[in-house]
Amino acid sequence: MEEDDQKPQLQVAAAPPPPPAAEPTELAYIPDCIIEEILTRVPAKTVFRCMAVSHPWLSMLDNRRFFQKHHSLSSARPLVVFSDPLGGKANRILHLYEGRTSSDFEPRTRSLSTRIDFPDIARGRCTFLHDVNTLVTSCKGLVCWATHRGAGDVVISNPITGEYVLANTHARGRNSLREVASVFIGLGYSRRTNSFELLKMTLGLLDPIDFTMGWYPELLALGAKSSWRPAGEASEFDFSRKVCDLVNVDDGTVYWRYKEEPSICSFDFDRTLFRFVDLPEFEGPALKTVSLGVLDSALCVSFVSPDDSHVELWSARTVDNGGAHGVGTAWKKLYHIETVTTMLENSGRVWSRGAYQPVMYVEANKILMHDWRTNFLMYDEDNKKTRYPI
Amino acid sequence: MAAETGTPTTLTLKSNDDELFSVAESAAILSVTIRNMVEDGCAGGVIPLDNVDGKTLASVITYMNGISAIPADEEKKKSYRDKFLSDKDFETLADMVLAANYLNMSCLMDAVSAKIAQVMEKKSVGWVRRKFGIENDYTPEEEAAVKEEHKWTFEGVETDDDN
Repeated sequence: MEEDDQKPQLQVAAAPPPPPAAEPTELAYIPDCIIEEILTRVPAKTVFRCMAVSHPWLSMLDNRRFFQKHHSLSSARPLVVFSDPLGGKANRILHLYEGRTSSDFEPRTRSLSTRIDFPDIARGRCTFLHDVNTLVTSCKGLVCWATHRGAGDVVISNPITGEYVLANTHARGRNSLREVASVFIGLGYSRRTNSFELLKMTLGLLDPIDFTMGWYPELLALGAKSSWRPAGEASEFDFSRKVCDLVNVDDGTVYWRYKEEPSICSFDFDRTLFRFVDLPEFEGPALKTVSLGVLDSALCVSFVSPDDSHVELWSARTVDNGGAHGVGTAWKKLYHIETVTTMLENSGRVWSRGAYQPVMYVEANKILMHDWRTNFLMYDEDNKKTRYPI
Repeated sequence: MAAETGTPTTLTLKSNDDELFSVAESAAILSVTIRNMVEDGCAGGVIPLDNVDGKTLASVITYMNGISAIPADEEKKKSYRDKFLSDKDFETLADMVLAANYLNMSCLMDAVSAKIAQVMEKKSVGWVRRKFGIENDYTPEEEAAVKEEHKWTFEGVETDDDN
């Protein structure tokens, strides 16, 4: 760098050592490591199709390491739908959708979905997947849900490979003596420990001397032979109520809400920090129709006006003001969806009352949402129309 | 990077078919391979790039100049990359991904890989074999079995005329 001005330069640059690899035939020869790099970026459907290319491709693609890499880069968020969210036998089946363009959600291409059956984990538990609407969370491609509240079983699944593990959230051994009840909150990814972690709230003995009872949070790192460990301070939180609207955001935070509560609770897996997030200032909040979702890696809230005339979508950005407690939230209004016009243009199909959860951006300005009855609909900001695609 | 004089430094790059290209050092050092050579002081004369042909190198330099002219605005850079790659065919993209790998340019590598992935999305197995030069080592029975197992993935695939 320093010899910029010296005209008679150093020796003409020696050739960089050429890579040892052999050079191409007519076709550009693309090394396996680059092919793998490319294939981590194709949709899951293409991955499975490419397994039919050759034996080497099959062994490159059909393994856990590749799936993990594919998940971590996947831009299309797999969407998992239970065939029968209200109960019954069929609710042991997940349908995986991976859509990038809105046409992927047309009824005719619905066969894009693949079924994943969970045959044996539900045996003997007729309440399996009860409450499932409120407790499915997705984190970096892994999906996690709790079985019947209080039963203590949590299922963690990779919907693309169909693999799953069952974790029990109850304390074992000595700890079980001080545990009265526990509520599973969610799955998150901690960059600090570089692992997936489960978060639960436990009701139990806080102080063995004076027998005080209370709720305390605990974390379990997946994979390692670890046990539940205390996680942060959450004394302001009341966990005896039913958790609703649980969402994971890519920044390693899980958000949830309690009914009739004017704020959102959050837990940051990196900082092991609990925090309240105030809702944005709606016109006259009617809390029964607030719903959380994730759009473009940001927390998102949808809000239906009390007279059901419109739906508002807001997105949150975490603002770091420095320091452990200096995290704030800035809200931005994304969309104002008039449901009256939508109703007229939608040939008689009415937006039903209740909450709408934003699911994902499908293309620019097209948002997939689902309502409280798990009907899916696509909102198109450009022509203000909605469809019922799934 | 530049010296105190403030005059932009120009590097000369040579492709493997002996074409010479001038490029501003500030743009060329997007390539870690070139940057290392510059920092090692061996960029005085002509920098030979033995794994890149002239046509591909011309493209890469267009990209280097284009992207380095954009200030730190990730959205604008992304739209430049999208536009830059939009009219490239598979063979050009394949050459570029190899060049990006050799030149160690992660942003171009990511963008071209993603573009190839996008091109592949609805292509048939035959198309993939042909374009990547992969020999089919399945027996017909094995191939049928693999395809049957992932039957759902073969819907909506573009028809393949010259398979």
